[in-house]
Amino acid sequence: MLIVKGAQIWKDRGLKRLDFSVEGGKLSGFSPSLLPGPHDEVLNLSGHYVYPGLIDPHTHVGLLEEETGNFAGDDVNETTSPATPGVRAIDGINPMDAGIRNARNYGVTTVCVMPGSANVIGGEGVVIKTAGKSVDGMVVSSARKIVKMAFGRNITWTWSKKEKYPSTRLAVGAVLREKLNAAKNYMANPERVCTYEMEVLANLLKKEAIARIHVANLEDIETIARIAREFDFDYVLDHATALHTNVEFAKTLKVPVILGPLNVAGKSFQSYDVTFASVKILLEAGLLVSVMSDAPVIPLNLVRLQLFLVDRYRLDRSDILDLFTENPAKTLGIEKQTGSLGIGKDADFIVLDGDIFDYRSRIRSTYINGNAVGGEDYEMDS
Amino acid sequence: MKWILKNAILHPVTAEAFRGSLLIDKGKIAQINPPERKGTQTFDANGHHLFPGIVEEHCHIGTHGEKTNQTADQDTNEWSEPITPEMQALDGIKIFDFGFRMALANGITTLNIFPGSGSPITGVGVALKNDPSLRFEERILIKESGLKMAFGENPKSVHSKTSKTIQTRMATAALIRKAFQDALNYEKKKDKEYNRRMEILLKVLKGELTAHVHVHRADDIQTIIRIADEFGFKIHLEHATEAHLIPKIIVERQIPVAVGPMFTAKYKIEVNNRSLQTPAILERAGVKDLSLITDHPVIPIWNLPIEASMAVHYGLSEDLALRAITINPAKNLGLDHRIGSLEVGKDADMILLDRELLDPTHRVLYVWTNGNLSYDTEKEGMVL
Repeated sequence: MLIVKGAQIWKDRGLKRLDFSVEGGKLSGFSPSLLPGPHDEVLNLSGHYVYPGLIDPHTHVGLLEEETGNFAGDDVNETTSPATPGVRAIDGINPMDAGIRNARNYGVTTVCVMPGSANVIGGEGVVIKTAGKSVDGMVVSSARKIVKMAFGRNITWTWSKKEKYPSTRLAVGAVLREKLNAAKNYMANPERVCTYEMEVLANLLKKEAIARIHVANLEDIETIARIAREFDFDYVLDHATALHTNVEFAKTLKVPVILGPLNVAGKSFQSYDVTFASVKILLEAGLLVSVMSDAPVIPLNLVRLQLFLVDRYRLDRSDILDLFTENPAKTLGIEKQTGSLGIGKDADFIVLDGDIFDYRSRIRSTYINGNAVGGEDYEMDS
Repeated sequence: MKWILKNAILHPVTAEAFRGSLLIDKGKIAQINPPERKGTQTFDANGHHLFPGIVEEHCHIGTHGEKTNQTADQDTNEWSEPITPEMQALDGIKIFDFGFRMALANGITTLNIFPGSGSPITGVGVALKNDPSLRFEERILIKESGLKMAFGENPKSVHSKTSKTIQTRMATAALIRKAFQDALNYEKKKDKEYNRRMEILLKVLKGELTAHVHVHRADDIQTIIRIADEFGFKIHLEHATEAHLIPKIIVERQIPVAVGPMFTAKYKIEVNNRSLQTPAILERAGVKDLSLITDHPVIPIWNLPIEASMAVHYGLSEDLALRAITINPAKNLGLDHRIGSLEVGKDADMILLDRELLDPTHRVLYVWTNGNLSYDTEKEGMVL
């Protein structure tokens, strides 16, 4: 058993002076003072701060690899067909990608990796921890199944360039309806021949899987809501760039949103409405809000920067931390396993030498499943 | 108009911070800690932090349209030929581009706007006061603020496709040498017709205009030093991603270095060695002439002070971090007599913050340019 002593730890929405123990990769006890037994390992973290590992619910790390030159290790969009529900992110993830190394060294312990946004149905996403040499060993198995979808300009731009269907928003909706209808017919057919593509969409209609939908503009969000009503499936709005411009509409949706990437300019993210203010507006509207990096769009070593920038809106700091921990955990369905510090949860935590909102404080080490796997100084050494 | 800004924590950048007041007269800082005067309009800073307006040495605001994806709105790179010193960023700037407001709301009061990096020699930059109350021509601080040049992957990838004049780094260097040799030959010629392309290059050769060189790799840095030595002109390094691998060369030659943008993915091979520690390593080696840049829109301009914060996080001194976004870029542009610090006689470009500038959670409360209130965040909102 590992006994961690002396630190201020972030638990139940506040910093508390508690010791804690780790057994078999899980958090096993919290107390103002834990006494180690003769066989216990002791880690003294006096003067340090412990927070839950950060979670990024929308990335392409491992698929869109850094340090390869023009993303030579690019496996993010299978643009040979506009609907590819049968492809799986896990089959393209390189666990050695610098983007994943960045994640663990800078405090991100869990990421969701998904195919890109060039297809109406992009394929299956996967939730992984950010340390390991085999992706199968990194999978967070409690996560809900994910079907990545996309609406809007990325699709029409990709396919109109090829002079192929779907070249307009009208056709994007049509492709999705056509595929979901096919899945309905497939499920109703007692003599069906099993296909992986149809099984993936059947999972969605049985609500075993959730749709993760890349969307920016309000008109596309309306279309998604319309199609979701028609076919009755659960979904999350990813990016949702313009949603804060119509708060009354947002309140009617009652779906989780994952905002970002927010630290961008220029040809903004297909919508001109990208702003950190959207976090405040949608939190106040009562939505479950998380923040994504869309890494490598914003590299994962800069997740803390987003936290500082959200803080400029002077929200409750517990609410800000939730954006990067508990809220994405809930959205991914892994809140019982990770995303906060509690008995029975994975020992995924980060050790800082100061408050996480103090820009001078450094991430001294990152723990995943109770093992020290990284930290800012690891990056210095590499 | 005379007015007094009182009860602020003043951060002159060129001196230690202190609590005090300023007298502003005719758009300039006229006096520090002036005596109380009856009848003079007074602004109470309520103990908040006053810094000089931030200076961005390298961005593409106005030439690279904000809130648009249209090539129709992009005027940063003239890719038709590899050598285009006669281009002026000034001629491509969209005056009402949203980027200017984004910069102002975040306290950036001086902008140096360069052409892009798609060619070995892309054109001349312009330095502007980001003061929306002035007509565009009045905002110009320096009409020709430097000649932009570029090495490495960008000119290679562009001109292997467009003009088909470059396949290798060798051709980039050869084209630059040829351009400067042409300029020398032009100068010797009698009865010549005026050639603006040659005249701009001659200004560089005569030291009237500095070459600002987009460069990432250490070997590219050494190539431009070699060429600059051959022709005897002054250079500033822009980006200088691998400068921390050859700090001695930079220090020995006292070349000004503009580091950034620090917050992008490693999407090009030539940026693989980028490190958030670069500013700190350069400082430890003895580099004093360091500035930081965002290259907006590559990263949004509000990141400029945050780059300074992160450089401090990785070991840069707070003093140099603040200088790197104020007085140092001002000096590099030849504007340190007017901007970059809170000193008597300088333009009253000032920003009032609720926390210190290097704390990335600060809010900009007010921005003044030339002594006039240019941005009031409470009324107009944050742009972030």
